[in-house]
Amino acid sequence: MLQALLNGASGMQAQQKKVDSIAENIANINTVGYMKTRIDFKDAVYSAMIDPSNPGSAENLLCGNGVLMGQATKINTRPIYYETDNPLDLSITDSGFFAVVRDGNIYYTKDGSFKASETDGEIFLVTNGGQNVLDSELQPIRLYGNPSETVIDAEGYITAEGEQQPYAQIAVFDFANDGALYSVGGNFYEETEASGQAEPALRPNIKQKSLEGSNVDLADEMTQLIKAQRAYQMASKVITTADEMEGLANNLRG
Amino acid sequence: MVRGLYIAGTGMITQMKRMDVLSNNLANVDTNGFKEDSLLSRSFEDMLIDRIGDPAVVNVSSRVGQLNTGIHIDSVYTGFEQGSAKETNCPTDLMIKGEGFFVVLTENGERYTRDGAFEIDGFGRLATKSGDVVLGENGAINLSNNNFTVKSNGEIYTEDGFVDKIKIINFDNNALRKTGNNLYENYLQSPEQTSSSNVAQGFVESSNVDLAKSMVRMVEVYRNYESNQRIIKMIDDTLAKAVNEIGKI
Repeated sequence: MLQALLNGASGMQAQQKKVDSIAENIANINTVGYMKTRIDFKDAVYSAMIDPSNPGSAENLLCGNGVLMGQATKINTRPIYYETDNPLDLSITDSGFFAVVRDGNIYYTKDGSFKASETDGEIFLVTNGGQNVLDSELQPIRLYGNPSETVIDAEGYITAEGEQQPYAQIAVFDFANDGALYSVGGNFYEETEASGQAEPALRPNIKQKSLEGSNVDLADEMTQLIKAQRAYQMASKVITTADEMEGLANNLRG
Repeated sequence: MVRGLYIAGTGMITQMKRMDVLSNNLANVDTNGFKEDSLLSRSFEDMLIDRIGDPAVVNVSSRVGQLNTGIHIDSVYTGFEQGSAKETNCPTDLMIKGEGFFVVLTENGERYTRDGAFEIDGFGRLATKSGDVVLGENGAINLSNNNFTVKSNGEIYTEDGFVDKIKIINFDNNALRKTGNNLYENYLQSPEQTSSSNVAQGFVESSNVDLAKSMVRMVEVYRNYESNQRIIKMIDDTLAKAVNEIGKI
């Protein structure tokens, strides 16, 4: 009896989540290295209804129990790259993530707007938030010479001003399923069981003086928003109608 | 006692069930590859009414005629019409153009789906968002990353060349039953048929629920329910008259 009401409620909840994720995407439209979130739905379990004329029948008599949120996936496509003047701004034009260390844990990021920061007389390559960027040996990267003259090639080798020999290589990792990375905020992602282990990227193709923009497409998000809003409205109509139907049943003996 | 009361009652029950199915369609209006269900109903078997103990019946048949005693649910019909294509540009999103299903391996055996919003799992295999492996002609499809191309005939190529062909099979659609998670089960063991449908990469099939149609149907269900309720009230009022007024002096 209450099934229709519950189905309507599950539809509203699902669409609310969708609107939340659209809001998150739109809010991050100018966040460097942001990967947009996509929500996919799936139908919930089905329960059997009983045919009164043939109670044991194997007929297809299933009634759905609403909708579930399938997964919120990070989508890693079509980013926009833009030029900057800072030689420590790096972008990975093929797929991959920089590794940074925060509170002793390794996180991964696509935000390559790095800075030089001095600690105890040594200059380190750090993120905007001051976290150390790691090299291919997972050690914090020290910069030698004038930071603004540092040369970083496509493979990530870092060479000091006027030198020929690189002294370190910036670490770039890739994942089998980067969509399942867990976003911990601050543009950082954490490795999960579903994302697979971090593997060194084969062709990082790093570009200096360039940053990776967000891959949020405003037109697409707005279309999704309209759709989600209408579906939400529809689900609330279902609840109203189901409620009125139950009202009618209650008024049988009026 | 009064048949009409029960007949209208079955009408209310059936319309409520129809509303349940309809509300599930509307909840899944944005579910990838969802197919709309509709509830089919049927009248109870007709029965013959006889006159019993009527002294007027002499040499004539005691049969009055036929009567059926209401309506009940019969089966759920799933409409497998193609849903509209939604472009995502995500290489792991696949859509079947035409009939057929992707085959996924779950812990309960093979299941079938129209939802092609796949991903690469932690082991580098093509899998559904719930983590069930998608099957190709030669078992699980190992891709390692999302740098691959799916041709329209379903053949998958990476930089190293041909990997596998994605398995698409078809059934007598009446043999399928939904199990949730966007999956179908072949519960009548209908034989598999090969399907020659094309695959489009970078698209997902959206739900085929038609909002306008569902809205109209919801109005219809509501009004139908309401008329059945009115009939019960009317019969109730008639009975009230019989009980309270006929005997009055």
